[in-house]
Amino acid sequence: MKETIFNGSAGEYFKIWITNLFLTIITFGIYSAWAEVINKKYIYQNITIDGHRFDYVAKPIQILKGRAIGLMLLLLVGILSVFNPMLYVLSLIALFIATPWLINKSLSFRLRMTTYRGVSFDFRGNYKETFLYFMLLPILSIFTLFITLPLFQKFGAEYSINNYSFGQKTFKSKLNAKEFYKAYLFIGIVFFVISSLSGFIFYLFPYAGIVILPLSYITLIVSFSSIWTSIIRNHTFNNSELDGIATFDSKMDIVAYTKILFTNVLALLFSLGLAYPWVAIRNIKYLSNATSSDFNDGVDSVINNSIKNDSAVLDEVAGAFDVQL
Amino acid sequence: MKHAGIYYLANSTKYYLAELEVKDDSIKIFNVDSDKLIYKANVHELINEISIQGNSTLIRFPDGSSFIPDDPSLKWEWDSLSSKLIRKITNNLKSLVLIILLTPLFLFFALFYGMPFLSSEIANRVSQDSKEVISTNLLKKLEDEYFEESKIDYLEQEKLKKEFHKNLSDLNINSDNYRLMFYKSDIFGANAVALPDGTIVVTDQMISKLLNSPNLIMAILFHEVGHVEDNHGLSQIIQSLGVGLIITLIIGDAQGLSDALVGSGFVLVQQSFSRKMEVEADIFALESLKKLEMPVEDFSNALESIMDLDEDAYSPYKNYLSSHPHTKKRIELAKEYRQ
Repeated sequence: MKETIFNGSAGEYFKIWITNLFLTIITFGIYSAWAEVINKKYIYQNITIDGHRFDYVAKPIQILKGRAIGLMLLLLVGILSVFNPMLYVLSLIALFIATPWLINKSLSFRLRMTTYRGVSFDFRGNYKETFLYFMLLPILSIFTLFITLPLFQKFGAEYSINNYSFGQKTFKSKLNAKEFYKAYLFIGIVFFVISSLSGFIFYLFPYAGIVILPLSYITLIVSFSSIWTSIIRNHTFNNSELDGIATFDSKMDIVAYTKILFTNVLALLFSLGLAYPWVAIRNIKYLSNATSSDFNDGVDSVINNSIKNDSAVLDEVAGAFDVQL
Repeated sequence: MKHAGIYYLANSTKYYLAELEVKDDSIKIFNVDSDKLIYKANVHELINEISIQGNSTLIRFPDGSSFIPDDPSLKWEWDSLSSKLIRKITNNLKSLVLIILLTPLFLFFALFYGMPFLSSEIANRVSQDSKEVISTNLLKKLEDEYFEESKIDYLEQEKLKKEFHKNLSDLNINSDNYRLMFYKSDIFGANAVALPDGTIVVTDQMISKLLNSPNLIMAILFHEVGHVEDNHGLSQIIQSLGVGLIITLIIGDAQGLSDALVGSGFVLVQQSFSRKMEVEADIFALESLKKLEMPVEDFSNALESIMDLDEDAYSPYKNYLSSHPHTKKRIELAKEYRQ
């Protein structure tokens, strides 16, 4: 088993991050494209497996162009929403139709800009299936009162992993819907316990509401996020492989991760955001430590087969709409 | 001098433990095991790479292959100017301290002064035609969701409209763009709303609270005219777009968790603008009363009659979340103004 090692330090990252933020502000946001590349490069380059580091290879100028175009499109939609409701509705419909394409493009961009040992990752999803798994099925699950939603999410996760690739090798994944249902069950139980507990305290001491309500809100969000990430990440990593050459292992612990996320949110709140670098480094350190992989000699002969950088601007426009899975 | 590191072939996971030698403008890579030369390049052919503080700096060769030295402190002469500059800034304690102090300060000014200024400048340049389009849409939405037909007597409505327009022309304000409308609204309660084009909506609930004192109604209307004259509504729309943009730029790629934080920060900033505008509109109303030689107490009396003062006293924290300044403070301001 090969450990994932993260060497980033909060102090070092803070220096880089605050300098980037400063330059972004005094350039009215133009520098944000460089800031994004530098921040990501710092993080990626500090993740190593088997003595080799990851890298983020996007060019700031591509990102800047993409953001500029994306921003103008969003602005246009914003202006339409005020001046011309008819065209606004039409543009929303167009956006809806374009969404699967946007998802594919931005995911593919993010992965292609990620390299390990000089070879890129990629996502090769197609319009039809992305539409089916990420839009149609989740909407249809309303008619089953969301009972089938976890099952559909399992399909979606399998679909995306099976279309991830590293060089010419594709990932393969066989997942179990049980784990997705388990995650929802845990979330449901935690929701019930925390909300009734905080409701009870609020009932006894109404004046404590100013503390209790935000605190329980944060606790809820943090524990949902921790439960989901831990269960689903462990399950998908442990049941995915890179076409005969690598297997993965994730050992996240819900309680430990909840503690990290919870203190992260408090640190962000009380530092008015200044603790962001520390928070980010802590989070990645935990995720790295929980992850290991095993691979054979096949990993030495992976080659890049997608040398297509021409659509980068288009991809970053897609990224500007921030479609996240 | 030779530097140990890893040499990666182009577009492949294949690599060699290697040593790099720089002599004048030429770069040579040797295989550590066999000591054989595996690659040769000229410094001027290198592909530009961003070097990151604290990490080994990758050298990318024209054929796509690359070399990563083991020593992270190793920096190259051919590094780009921007990389060198940033290294200088981050390594210099003075400049770092300066940045740490200036960044929050700049951010504060950008959010609380820059954006409000910029958005009111933009709002002031929007034509009356555009304002009418926006207001028509807004009014339609309000009519659909919150407003019902007014039960106020038609003659009473006409009387108020006439007096309102007369006051406007006495104040030397072009009254053509102004339009007074009456609606019943349970959700809005006793309230008045100004739309960007000069349409001012008054609720039945407010009229019935102030029916016996039309001067008090006028005082409230002057407050709304203040909003229209200073383009507050539009400024606010533009501000909310701008502030959202600034906040996402800063915490853009933070994890989903930060959404809640971004949201609450957004509300705080928005509400602070809003309170500032309310004060401006209050002052406008007081000045108008003065110009018309009406008693300035009319405004504080009107506030007292339509606001529920007890409810306002509930919590000190509410101050930061409220879109309006504390009613008691507004009344105090009005009383100070008299002197």
